[in-house]
Amino acid sequence: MQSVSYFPTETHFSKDWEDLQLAHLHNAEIEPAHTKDEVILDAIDRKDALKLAELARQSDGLLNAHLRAKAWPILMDHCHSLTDNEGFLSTLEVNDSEPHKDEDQVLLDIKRLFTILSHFNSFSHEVNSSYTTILSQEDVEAMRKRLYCLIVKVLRKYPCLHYYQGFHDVASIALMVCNDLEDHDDQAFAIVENLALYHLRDFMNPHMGLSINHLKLVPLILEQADPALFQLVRQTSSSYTATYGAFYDYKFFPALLALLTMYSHDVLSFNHVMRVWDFIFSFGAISVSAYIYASFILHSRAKICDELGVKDLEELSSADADLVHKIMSPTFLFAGVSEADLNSVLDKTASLISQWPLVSLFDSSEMANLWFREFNTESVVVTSSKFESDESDSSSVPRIISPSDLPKIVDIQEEQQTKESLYESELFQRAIEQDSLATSVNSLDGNSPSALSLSLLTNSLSNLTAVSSSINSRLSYTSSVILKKLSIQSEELKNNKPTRKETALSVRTNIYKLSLTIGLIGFLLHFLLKHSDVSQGYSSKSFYSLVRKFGTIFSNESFWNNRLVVQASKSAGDLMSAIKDSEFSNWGRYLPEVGLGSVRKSVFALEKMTL
Amino acid sequence: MSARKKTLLKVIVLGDLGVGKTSLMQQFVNKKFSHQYKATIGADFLTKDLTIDNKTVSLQIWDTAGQERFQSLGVAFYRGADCCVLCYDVTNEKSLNNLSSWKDEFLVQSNVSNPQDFPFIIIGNKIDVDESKKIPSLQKKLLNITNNQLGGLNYPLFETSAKDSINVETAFENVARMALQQEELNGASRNDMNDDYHDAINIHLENDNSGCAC
Repeated sequence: MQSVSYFPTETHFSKDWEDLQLAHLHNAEIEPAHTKDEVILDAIDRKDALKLAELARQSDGLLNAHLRAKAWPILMDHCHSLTDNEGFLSTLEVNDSEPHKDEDQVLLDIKRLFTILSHFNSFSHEVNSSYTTILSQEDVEAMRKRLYCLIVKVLRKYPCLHYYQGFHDVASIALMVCNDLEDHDDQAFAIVENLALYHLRDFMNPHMGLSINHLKLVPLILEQADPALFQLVRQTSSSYTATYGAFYDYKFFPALLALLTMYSHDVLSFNHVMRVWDFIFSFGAISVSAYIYASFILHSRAKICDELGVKDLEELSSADADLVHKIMSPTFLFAGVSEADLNSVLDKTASLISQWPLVSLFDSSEMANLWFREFNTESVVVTSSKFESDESDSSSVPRIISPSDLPKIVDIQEEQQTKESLYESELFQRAIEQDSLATSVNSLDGNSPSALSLSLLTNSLSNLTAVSSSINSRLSYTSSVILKKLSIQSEELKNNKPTRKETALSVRTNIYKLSLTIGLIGFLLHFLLKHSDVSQGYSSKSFYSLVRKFGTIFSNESFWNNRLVVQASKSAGDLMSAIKDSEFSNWGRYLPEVGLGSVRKSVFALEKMTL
Repeated sequence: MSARKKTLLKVIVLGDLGVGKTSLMQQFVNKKFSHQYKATIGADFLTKDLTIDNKTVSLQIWDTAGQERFQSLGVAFYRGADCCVLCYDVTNEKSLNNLSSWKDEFLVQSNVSNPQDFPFIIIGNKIDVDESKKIPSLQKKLLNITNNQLGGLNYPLFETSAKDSINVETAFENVARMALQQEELNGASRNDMNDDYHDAINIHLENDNSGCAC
């Protein structure tokens, strides 16, 4: 029987598996196992996570769902062991604990979850699988119920985690993989709980901010691996175009779906998802997801060039941002991915990881250093990913989180995230102030025909509106946290006077809204007036139309339904008429400071409030 | 650049989760309906070519996520939109009441140049369901919302069924027509914003030549 193992004849043996067998030949200490599943089972019995990791990265991964259900928890436990699991499950019925606020959302998403049916049916055709029956509609319904219970259990155990659309896809995979086990629901719970705490925690914060930070890793990897592709991504990003290339925020939205769902949301076939998960777990780090995505983009380089209509990216002079979004999205990128494609993508990923581990990526740029070192020190990228590529480094062993610690961690994460987005909007603003100003002014300095400067003026104007409104929304986004805190404070102070609390809050909100509006007006005025010496007639005309426009916005009750704002708009009107009376040439000198100053001030004030 | 064959119109479809945004889009673009589309995550678009008033246009329809936490991403996707479709579910009153907040959110994040007369269109989906399940006195409530929350602006209103393909075509033809108007209104500045990352001056010269100053 042993001789068979030395000369494997089974056809499904992969190349690297044969290498492994040959290696065993020369290693008398290790008892040779017969087939790969026996080796895996053996590693499972010995709880040998390193061995399992090695096996998981081979071209057929951990073979089947049955083995995966047993191997994954070991791979995960290697990094983070969970305590008191059984205690929670045996003593706590789902009905006993407080409902989580997102449960309705979960229900809606699960109702629409198609994965279970389609995946299960693809599952049953697997050769060595024990799943032989194609599921009926009733079975699917039963699975949906179990999935709902599974997610709700996790949410109720950790009420500070927020559900996001896509988490249900992840949970459904865990449920299916464990389906064959006796204690399937408990096993699935353990996997999903582990994922939520150590891999997907960043995505389960109150806001999306930290999820976006994960997206930044993809261009960061591309920057090292393929500068031309990186250029394509960068030049079609909104931050880059809005600041004339002065600022790039690395937010790579096409990867959102794949990273949030760990490739499980209609992205890849079930068997491919299994392989990807084997691979991710073998590294014990969710950041591997981003490496895989980058690797997929590199793999699809030819397809991307085809779609853009060029032979090579160097030929490309411009590209449509929406088209680039499309071709960088999973639907295009992963269409028709074959087994061989996936293997080469994963091989490439492994070499990307060893060539540019996270540490070297963060060292490579000052900005990247901020994302997960300066800010977001509690991100899973830092706490439960191995920062070093060297696996024997014991200093990088992630710490274990207890359910009681989690709310604190989530709070810190949220706080750090707020600080980061404030900082980022400041960077963005500075980029606009300096570079956009410089470029538009410089281009006006040249003896260009007036028609040209006119179109430049309108262009810079429209660009600035874009920029200021995006700052506006960034600020309002970050401030929502602060406002929430304010409302809690005032609630404590004025418990017995709800009306005063409400007014206090609305006054604060409106002061804030107002300051942003003034900033916005300032921006626009500044840009009109800055160029007023070039095309006086035009700018004064648009100035009046602008004033009229703001007048209508202010007077529109549904928009600014507040006495305070109406008063302010009146005083703003006074200011404008005062300016109108004064010398025309003086406008440009004062107004820029007003506009930029007030935006800067509101950023500053917000910062102070958060400290 | 002046030789653009087709006019590209960007349309954003918004609305609460589960009102049928993906279904509407799939029905219109691919002429198919499935009872269960999975939740949309992030945003993606489908394109369809249409002929509107003897002009071929390419309608780029963006499907968006309905869950609230994804709303902050709008900035990345709404830019350069020519029309916005606000959807509600005729059996779900909350989705109706949220129309105005979707509209406001869109205006804040998309930064359109003419928020006052930017083309919005309202679609009430799922009219195929039983009368008993529909929102009671829907018309009254709808009128109330248009008058009090949508600033009395009479946005075109369509009641559709993505399932039975009722009115979907008509609604989107209307969307295309409105988007085309918007595109003609400020198409020039839109093009600038999309293409100007290499050399602002060159592109503007081209635009001057393309006869937009008529």
